[in-house]
Amino acid sequence: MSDKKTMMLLSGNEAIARGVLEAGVDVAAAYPGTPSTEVMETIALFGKDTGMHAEWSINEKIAFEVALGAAWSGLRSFTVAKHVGLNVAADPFFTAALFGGMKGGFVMCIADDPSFHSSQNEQDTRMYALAAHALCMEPSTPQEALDMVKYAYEFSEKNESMIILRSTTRLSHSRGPVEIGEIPAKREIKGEFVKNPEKFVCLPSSARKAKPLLLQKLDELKDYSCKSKWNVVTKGKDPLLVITSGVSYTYVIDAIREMDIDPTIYKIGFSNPLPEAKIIELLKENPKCLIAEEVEPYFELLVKALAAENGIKVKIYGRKEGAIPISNELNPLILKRAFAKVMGIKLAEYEEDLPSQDEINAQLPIRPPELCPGCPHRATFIAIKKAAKKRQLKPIMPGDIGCYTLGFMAPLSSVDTTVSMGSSIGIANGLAQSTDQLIIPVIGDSTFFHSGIPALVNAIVNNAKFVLVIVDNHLTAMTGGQPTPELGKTAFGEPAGIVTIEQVCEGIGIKNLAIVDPYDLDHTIEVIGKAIDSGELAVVISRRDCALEYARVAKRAKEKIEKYFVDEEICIGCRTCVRTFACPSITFDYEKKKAHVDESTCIGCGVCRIICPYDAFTKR
Amino acid sequence: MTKLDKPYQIEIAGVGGTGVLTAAMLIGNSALVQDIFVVQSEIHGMAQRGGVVNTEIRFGPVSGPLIADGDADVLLSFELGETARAIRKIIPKDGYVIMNSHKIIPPSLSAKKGGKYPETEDILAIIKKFTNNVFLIDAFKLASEVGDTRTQNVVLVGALFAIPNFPLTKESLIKALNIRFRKNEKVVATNIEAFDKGYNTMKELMK
Repeated sequence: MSDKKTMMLLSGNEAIARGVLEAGVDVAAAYPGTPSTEVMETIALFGKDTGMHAEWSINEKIAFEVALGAAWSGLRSFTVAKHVGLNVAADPFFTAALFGGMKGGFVMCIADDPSFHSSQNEQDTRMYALAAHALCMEPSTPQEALDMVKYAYEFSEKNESMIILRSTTRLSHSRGPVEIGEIPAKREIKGEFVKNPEKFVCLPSSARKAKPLLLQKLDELKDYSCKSKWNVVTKGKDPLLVITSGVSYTYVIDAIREMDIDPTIYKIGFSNPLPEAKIIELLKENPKCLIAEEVEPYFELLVKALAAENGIKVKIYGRKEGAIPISNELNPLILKRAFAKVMGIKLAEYEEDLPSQDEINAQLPIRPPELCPGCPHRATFIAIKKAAKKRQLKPIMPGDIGCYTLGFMAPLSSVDTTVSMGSSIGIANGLAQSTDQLIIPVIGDSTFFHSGIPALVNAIVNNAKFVLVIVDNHLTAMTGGQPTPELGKTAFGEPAGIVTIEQVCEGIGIKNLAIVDPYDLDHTIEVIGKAIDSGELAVVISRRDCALEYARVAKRAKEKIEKYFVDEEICIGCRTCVRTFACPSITFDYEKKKAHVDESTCIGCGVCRIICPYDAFTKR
Repeated sequence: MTKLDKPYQIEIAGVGGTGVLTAAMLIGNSALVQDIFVVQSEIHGMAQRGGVVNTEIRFGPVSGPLIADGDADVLLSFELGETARAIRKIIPKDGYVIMNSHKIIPPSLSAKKGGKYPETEDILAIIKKFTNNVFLIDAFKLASEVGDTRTQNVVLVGALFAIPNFPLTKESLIKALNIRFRKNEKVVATNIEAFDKGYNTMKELMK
């Protein structure tokens, strides 16, 4: 047993979390966001036994600052976010990277989302590393992710600098065999903050001193990067150099194996600072260089500059050059095509006489993601639409980030803008100052706490008038149900303080405030109508538990859910339910000309009964 | 580590909530039990809310988590129409397709006037342009016979294991079930029953 390795099939995110636990991290803080969420979820699941502190913070900026405070107290600290989460944390991040002073190791994991699987953009965190002069590492596999996290803590402490660990969707959400190590035994967490104003009071005078020191350190680390075990050269016989990092490396390996080619590969684990001397040496040895990276041409721009500065005659191919498409994630086929182009090989292309993806899709029903059966958001959107329609008004509805973004889909068509966390209220401020149209921003509970509150304060102090609807399902639902401030639970599930939305609204002086249950559709329509009629700044909290969570809890408690069915004697086939409500449990049989409820998915919310003009939906 | 001399690749297609990710975990852990190198990819997030869910599993001498078009040895599909959407992954002519005959009708279809789910024959016609090794299994019915329609995924995994020269064994899958269901004997037993239903049905279909 003793020499037998313990292997587990872990996702990249689970492996990163495992690395954090094995490294003995003392404080971890995060706000959820796909594809990063499972890192903190895994830490929350197992961290309690280590004595560490783990928290779901209100937003990414606060999570970053929690980790920074811990690192400045000499503790090992960790924060994780999705790529756009770093935009929220960018303010403290730039300054922390500049001043350093982390006596305890500080690792920030950022998961980028090439190909926009669950995001509004595909920004490349390595650009942030470059801009902030921050150290950055990129693992390629779950195993490497675990090993790199542990290494990063030692390296961070040695340099008193924070380190970015950059993941991407295909690493975070891929599984592979991982050899795991030991998690340190339970311990008491006790840091000490030692005053050092020169380091921790980030004023212009100290910043002027810090910047040249930081640049000098990065310069020195370039040599270290050349010798690092994370930057690996595999010499080949073909006159081609491939520079790659992260999950792109794995596609390179798949492509060269399949094509039976043998280029020299430089796999870079240290994205910043780059191993410049080694790159120059390799460029001199090869007439051609292909750069395989996700997602911006980060290496490509820097390597081209190095080649030019050093007068090296090498043809550099990549995403900017065009051998690889400029946006979206890579895959083995893209790499094979790029190799074929660069090396002048004819690629045996996939049999193109077969139907194309577009031809196949044209014969299939579309299957977009949608709000769940019984989702209270659907009822809220219907209520807003009905209240406005009664008044012959067409509201502008700035939306936000969460499940309710899906309200933009037909037939609800209830989201007019989506930009970033909290923007519904921010943009409503701007619209209110610009137009006479009725403005009804819709924001979720977690998003309201994350960054909606300042925008609502802004509306009060600048006399902006709109009707804010806060859809409150007591969870951060889109990312899998993390706690919100209203739940009163820590990441470990222990009791915690509670802050409610109505407390916040009352506290900042919202006079026109109402709380409704969206399943009580008629009352919700009436209350939203009153808010519209007031002509004032108004807030309606539409409160009802997330349907997914409700179904889960009811199942666990063995509670019987009363389902609905269609009384076919009454249903006249008007299709009002499927045309306007679009609950996934309701389908329409065009042969029988009757609606039908799938009782295996119905959660008995009963809103269909109110929607139906003929009362055809009945309880069993 | 058990050596496979060439990659063995499985594409799983389905819809959020049909047990795609659980099935992938079971297959991946079976490989781990047998000491076969495995990588697999999954997409979460927005796609989970009733959208298309795909998972790719690769065994043997492989590196990255993605399967290129035309490279999958098997397409295992948990929903009728989604089989066609993922069919381009299959190795033309030789690839195996195991598909659930169960349909999940997207609500957007009902909202569209006259919206109708395509006939099974029409979907099969698309698939048969790619390969003739097509096996249609009523996993919903077989899972109902076991007494839990949630085991549809394991019925289909059972069918997968019946493919000639499939690298994984039932013994390793039982170990994977014990990992997944934390040795809850009743749940494991139900799932083994579901596995056998799929396995035996597939054997019959291949006769």
